[in-house]
Amino acid sequence: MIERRQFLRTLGLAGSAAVIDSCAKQSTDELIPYFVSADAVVAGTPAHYATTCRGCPAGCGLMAKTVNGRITKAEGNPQHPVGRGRLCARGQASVQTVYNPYRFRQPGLRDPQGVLQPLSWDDAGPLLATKLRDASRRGPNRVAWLGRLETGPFDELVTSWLAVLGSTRRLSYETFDYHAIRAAADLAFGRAEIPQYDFDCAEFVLAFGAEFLETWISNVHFTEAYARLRSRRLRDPGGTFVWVAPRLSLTGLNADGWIATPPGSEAAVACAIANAMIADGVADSAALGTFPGIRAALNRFAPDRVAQVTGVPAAAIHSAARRFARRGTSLALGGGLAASGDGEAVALEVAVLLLNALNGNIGSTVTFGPTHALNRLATPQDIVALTHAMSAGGIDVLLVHHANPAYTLPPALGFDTALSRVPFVVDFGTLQDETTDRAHLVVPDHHDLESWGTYAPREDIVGSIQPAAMPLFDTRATADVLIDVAQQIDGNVARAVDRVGWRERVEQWWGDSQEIIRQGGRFTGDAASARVTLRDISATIASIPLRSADSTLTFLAYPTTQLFDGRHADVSWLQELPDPVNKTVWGNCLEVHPATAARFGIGNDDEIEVASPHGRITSRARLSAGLDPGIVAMAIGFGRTASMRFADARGANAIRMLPPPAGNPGAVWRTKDVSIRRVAGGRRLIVLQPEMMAHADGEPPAARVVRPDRVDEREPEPPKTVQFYPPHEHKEHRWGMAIDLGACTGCSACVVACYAENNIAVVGPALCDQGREMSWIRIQREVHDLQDHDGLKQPGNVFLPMLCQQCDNAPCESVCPVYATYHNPEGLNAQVYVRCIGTRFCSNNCPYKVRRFNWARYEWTSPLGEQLNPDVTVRSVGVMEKCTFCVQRIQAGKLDAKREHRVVRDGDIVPACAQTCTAEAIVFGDLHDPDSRVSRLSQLARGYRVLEELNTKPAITYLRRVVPGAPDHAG
Amino acid sequence: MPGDTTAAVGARLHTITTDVMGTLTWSVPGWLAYWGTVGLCGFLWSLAGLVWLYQIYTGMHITGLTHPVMWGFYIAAFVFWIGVAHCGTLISAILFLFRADWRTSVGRAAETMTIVAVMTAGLFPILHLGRAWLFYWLIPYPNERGLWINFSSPLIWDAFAIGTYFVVSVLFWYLQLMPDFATVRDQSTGWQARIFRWLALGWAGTAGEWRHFRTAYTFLAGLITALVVSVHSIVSWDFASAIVPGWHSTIFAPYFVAGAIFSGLAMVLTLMIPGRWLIGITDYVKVDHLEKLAKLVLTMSLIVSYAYVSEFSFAWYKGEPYDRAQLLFRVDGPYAPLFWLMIVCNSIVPLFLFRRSVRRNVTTLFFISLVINVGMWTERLVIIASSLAHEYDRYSWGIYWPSIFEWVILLGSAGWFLFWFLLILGHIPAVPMAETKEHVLATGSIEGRA
Repeated sequence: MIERRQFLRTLGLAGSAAVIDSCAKQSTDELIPYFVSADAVVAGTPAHYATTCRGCPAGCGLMAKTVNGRITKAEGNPQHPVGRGRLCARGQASVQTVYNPYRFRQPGLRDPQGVLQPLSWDDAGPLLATKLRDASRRGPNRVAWLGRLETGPFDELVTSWLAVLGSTRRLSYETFDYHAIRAAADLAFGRAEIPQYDFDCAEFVLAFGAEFLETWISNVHFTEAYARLRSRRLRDPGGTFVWVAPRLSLTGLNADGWIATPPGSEAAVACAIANAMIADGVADSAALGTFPGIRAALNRFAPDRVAQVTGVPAAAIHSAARRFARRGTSLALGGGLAASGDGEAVALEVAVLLLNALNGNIGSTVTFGPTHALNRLATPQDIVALTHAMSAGGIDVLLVHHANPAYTLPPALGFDTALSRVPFVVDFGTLQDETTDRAHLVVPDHHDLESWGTYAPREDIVGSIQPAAMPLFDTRATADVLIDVAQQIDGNVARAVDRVGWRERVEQWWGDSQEIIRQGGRFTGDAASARVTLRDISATIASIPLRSADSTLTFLAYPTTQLFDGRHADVSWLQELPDPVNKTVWGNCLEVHPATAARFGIGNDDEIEVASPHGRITSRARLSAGLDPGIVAMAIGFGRTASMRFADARGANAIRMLPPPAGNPGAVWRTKDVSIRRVAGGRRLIVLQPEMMAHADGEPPAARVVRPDRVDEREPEPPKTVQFYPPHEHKEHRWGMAIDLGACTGCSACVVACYAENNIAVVGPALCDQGREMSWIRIQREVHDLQDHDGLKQPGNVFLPMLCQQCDNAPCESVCPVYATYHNPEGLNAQVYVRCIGTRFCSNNCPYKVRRFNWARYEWTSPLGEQLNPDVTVRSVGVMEKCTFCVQRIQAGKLDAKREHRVVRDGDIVPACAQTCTAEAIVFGDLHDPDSRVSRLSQLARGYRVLEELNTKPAITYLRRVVPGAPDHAG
Repeated sequence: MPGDTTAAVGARLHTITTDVMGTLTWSVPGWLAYWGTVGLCGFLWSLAGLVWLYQIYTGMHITGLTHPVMWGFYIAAFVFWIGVAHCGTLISAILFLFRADWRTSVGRAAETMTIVAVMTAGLFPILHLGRAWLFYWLIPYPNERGLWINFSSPLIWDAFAIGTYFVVSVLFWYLQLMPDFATVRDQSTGWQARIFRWLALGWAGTAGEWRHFRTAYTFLAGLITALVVSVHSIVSWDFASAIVPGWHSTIFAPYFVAGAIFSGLAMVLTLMIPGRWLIGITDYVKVDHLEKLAKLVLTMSLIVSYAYVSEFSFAWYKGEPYDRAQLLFRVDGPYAPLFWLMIVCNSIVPLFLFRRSVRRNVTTLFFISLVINVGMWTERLVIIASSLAHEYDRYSWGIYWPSIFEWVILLGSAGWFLFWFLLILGHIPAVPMAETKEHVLATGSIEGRA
C-alpha cells in the first residue's frame, strides 16, 4: 500500500527527489514539505507547479504558485493549449477551496442518529472492503460508481477495479452534458461526437444559446480565441457576433445583435436563416448535394412566415443570414441551456450544423476529431437506469466521486428517494454537499491541487496533475483507497488490481514523466480531423415545429460563470463576486421581463412563488429587459440544503423546477407551463449595481462606444488647464494600463484574481448589502440605449473594469493629512496602510470611487489564512485600501531585472488582473517606454480616459467598444 | 451714575456682587433642576462614550456610513458645533469692538458656550477616524517614524485652525474672568476662597492691572474677530477644496461663516432662555437682550438665505452637468425632505422675527431658536451627505442614513456640551460682574450704552 507520505517525498517539480525522512506521524505544520534538494527551495521564494484545473470538464492548464509550502495563487499555465495561461473566475478561486475550513478532515461514518462521526483510515478501509465484498458476492452490478469525468490512468483503474467487483455500472456524470450536439452530429454526419469549433478560422459567430464565454464546453479557450477574432474584425460594419436566444446571458451581452427568440423557436429561426441564405443565393449549394429533401423541408421556414408565427422580425433573420454568409469563415454554435430540452434540442443542433454546412464551415471552423472527453459522459438514460436500479434495491454500494447528484439532478427524477434505498453510500468528496450529507461513509479525497493524476479534455491534450502542496488534512487519494481496498477484499481481486501505488501508476502512464509534469502535460495537437459529408437530415428539419409562442411562461435555469452547476457554492470569493449580468451577490434571483412583471403585478425585489409541473420555489424577482417576455430565468447553484457555510441556504434552487431527464437526449434546463405569483416573506436581494443604464443628462458615460467606421477618429480632447503645481517627474517608469472595452467580456476572472493576489477580505452578505464589499476592481455594466441596427436589436452593453486609475493629478493624494497615500516616483498612487488613520477624505475625493475602507475586522477562518499572499499586507480595521497595480509584482519584476543586470522588459511585470484576463483586454506596462504595448494601445484613436475633464490625468486608457449600432457621436 | 449718592451706588454694585455670587453658593431656586440636568447630560455622554468604545472595537460598520458616503453625522456634528462656537466670539469680541454694551450680560454665557462647543466639536474629527487611537498623527512633531504631515490637506489646516481658535477663546474668556474671580475670592471663605485665589492669579485691581487688562482684552478681541472668519472658512475648505460636486464652490467660506454665526446665535438663545432661569440671572439677562439677539438672528438668516440662492445659481449656471445633477438631486432626491426642511427652518421661520411681539415673546423665541438649530444641523447634513451620495459616476451613487449608534453619539455630544456648559457656568460668575459694574457706573443701567 502506498503511503501518502511516500509519494510526497518525490513531490518536487525539479525531480531531484532525494528521499529522506520516513517519520510516520502525519503533521501539517512543516513549512517546506518538498523533498527537493535543500538549496532549491528557499523560504519566502515562490515555487510554481504546473497542473490541471479540475473546476469543470474544460481542463485548463493551471500553474499553482506556492510560498513556504502554501498555495497562494492559481494562474493559468501559459504552455497549456487550453487557456494559454488564463483562468476563469472559478479557476482563480480554486486555491480557496484547498483552504476551505469546512473540508472533510478525516474519514467519517454516519451513526444511527445521522451524525457523521470521525473514523480512522485503519477502520474505513476494512469497512469499505467488507461492504464491497458482500455486494460483489450477491451478484453482478450491485456496486455502482457515479463520478466526475475522468481520463487516463484513473479512468482505467476505476473500470478495472469495478470489473473485478463484477460491476459495469460506471457513470461519468457531469451536470451539463452535450448529448444533443452528439445526437445531431450523428444524424447529420454519422459521427456521434462534439465537433471542434475553431474561432481562429472564423470571422463571424452566430450562437444559438451557446454560452461559450462563460460555461459552455471550454469557456476560457473560447473566450481567448473569440477575443482574437474580435480584434481582427474590429472595423467590420456588421460586427462579429449575433446571439439568438431567449435570454441575454453574459455571452449574449457581448453580441453585436440579439434575436430574442420565444422559447422553443430557436430551431425554426435557424432554419429561417438557412432558408434566407438559400433564397439569397449565398449558401454553398454543393453542401446540400444530393438532398433536395433538405431544401424542400427548409421551404417551410420562409423568413416572413417564421416572423409571422414566432414574432421574430424578418429583418433580423435576413440580417443574421447576410452577416453569417461568408464562405467557410463563420461559425454557428448551438447549445447551452437556451437550446436544451427535449427533442427540440437535437433539432436545433441539426439546424445549426446545417447552417455551418450551407456556409461551407464544415472542415474549416467546425471539424470532427480530435474527440473531446465530454463525449464519454453518461446519458440521461444511464442515470434513469441507475436511479431505477437503486429504487428497486439492486444497488448495494453506491460510490460517488466528485459529483453531487443529490443536488444537480432534478428532484422530479426521484434520485433522492432512490438514494435512501441504497444500503451503503460512499462519497469521496472533499467538501460537504447534498450527496455527502446522504453518504454513510465519507472517505475524503485529496484536493485536486494536492493530487497526482491526469486529465485530457481532448485526446491530443493530456494535462498532468501534480500536487502543489502537501495534503492539508488526513485525506487520501481515492486511487490509493481503491487499490488498498482491492488488496483487502480477497485474492482474486487483489491479483486483478495489482499492488502499485497511485503515484507510480501515474508515472508509469506518462513514461518519461519529469519533463511532461514540469510543463503540465503532453500536448501533441497532431490528431487529424475527419472528413465528413452531410447526410439526409430532411426528416429532422421537417419535424421542427413552427408554432407561435406559448401563452404560459417558460422557466429557464442557467449556469453562471461563478458557480457553474453549484459545485463552487461554498467558495466565498465566488459568492461575493457579483453576477456579471444582474450584479447580485450571495444569492440568485428570478429574472422577469418588465412587461411580464406588469402583467402579473410584480415589482423589483418582490418575493415570487414560481411553480412548474415539477416543482415549486420562491425567490426575489429582478426585472430585466434582457429576456424574452415569455420566460423567467434563474441561476443554478443556489438554494443549498447541505450545511455549506458560505452558501448558507441563500437563494433558491432552480433545479427543483425542472423535469426529469427521462426520454430526452440530454439534461433539460427549461420547463413550460410555469406560473408566478407574488407572496410574502423572503430575503431581499443584495445587488451591487442596481442601475445599469448609461448616463443621461449630458454626462459622458464612463463606458463609451464607437461606430466601426469611426474607429480611427479621436474624441475631442478636453481643454488643457493651467497647472498650479509642477508636474510629477517619473524618472524611470510610469506604470499605466490600457483596457479594451471591446475585448472585455465581463467574465470577472480579474476580480477573483485580485482577491487572491491582494488578500482582499470577504465581508459576507450583511456587509455587502450595506455596500461595504472590498473588491479593488469591479466590472461596471453599462447599457447604452441604442437603436436597432440593420434589423437587429442591440444589446448595447459595455463592461467596464474599474480600478484605481493611478491619476497623475490624484485628488486623493492632496487631501490625506498623514501622507498615507502619496504619489510614488513611478506614478502609482501608493497607499501606506500602516500610516492610514482612516479619515476617508481620499475616498470622498476620488471621482472613480475605487478606494475601499475596512469597515470591520474581517476574519480568515483557519485555515483560509494559509492562502494569504505573504508579499501583501493584511489590512487592519479602520484603514483605507486600494489597487496599486500589484506593486508587489512590480517590485519583484524590478528585482529580477536588477539581479540579471538588465532593464525591465515589456511584459515582465503583469498585475494579477491582467495576467488572467482571458480576452487580454487589460494590458499593463511602462508608459515611458514608447514601444511598450500599453504605450501603443494608449495612443489609439479609440482611447479615452474616464472623467478626464476633471483633469485627474489617469494612467489607465480605455479603448472604446466598437458597436455597429453606436450613434454618430457616442459619448 | 450722576445724581446718586455714593452709598446708593455702592449698594447697587453690591447687589450685583451678591446676585452673581448667589449663583455660586447653591442657593439658586433651580438647584434640583440644575443638578438633574447636569446628571442627565452626564448619562447621555457616558452612553455615547460606550458606543464609541464599541465602534473602536468593532469598526465603523456600526454607523450608516458606507461607500460612497464616507462622512455623515459625525462630520455634520463637527461643523455644527464649530458653528455654534462662533457666536460666543461674535458677541464678546465683535460687539465689544463695536461698543455694543448690551452684550455684557449674555457675554459670559456665550463665551463659555464657545469653549464648550469647540471642546465638543473637537471630539468629532477624532471620533470619526477609522483608527481613532492614532489621532495624534495629525500633529506635526518630531517622531521616531520619521514622517511628517501633509500641509496641503485641508484636514491639517483644520487641526491648526481649531487648535488656535480654542486657545485664543480660552484666553479671552479667562482674561475677562480674572477680575470676577478676584471678587469671588474676596467675598468667600474656606475652600472656595482657596480655589478662586488660585484662579484669580493674584488680581489686585490696581490701575496698572486694569490698563494692561484693557489693552490685552482689546487686542484679543481683534485677534479673535479675525479667527471667527478664518476658522470657519477653513472648515468650509474641508469641503470646497475637494472636487465633489456640491462642495467644490468658492462661495463656501463666507457661506459657512454666515451659517456659523447664525446657528451660534440661535444656540445662545436656546441656552439662555431656560439657562437664565436655571442659573438665576433673570435680572441680568433680560428680554431686551434676547430681543437684540433675535434681531441679529434675523439678519444672519437673511444672509444665509442669500447664500443659498447664490449657491444654487452657481450650480445651475456653471454649465457642469454634475453640479446641475447634484442640485436636482438635492431638491428632488431622497434627501429632498431634509433640503426643504432646511429651507423652511433657516429661511422662512426666522422671518417671523420681523414682528416685535414675536421677538419679545420668550416662548416663541425659544421655539424659533430650536427650529433654527434643527435647520442648521440639517443644512450641514444635506451639504455633506447629499453631495457625496451623488457624485460623478452613476455606478457609485449611493445613499446614507445614520444608524442608531450615530444618533446616540449625536445626542451624547449634546449631553457633553450641556454638561460642561452648565457645570462651568454654574461654578463661575455667570455674568461678567466687573463689566456690568462699569456699565452701572457709567450709565446707571446694567445694559450700558445701547
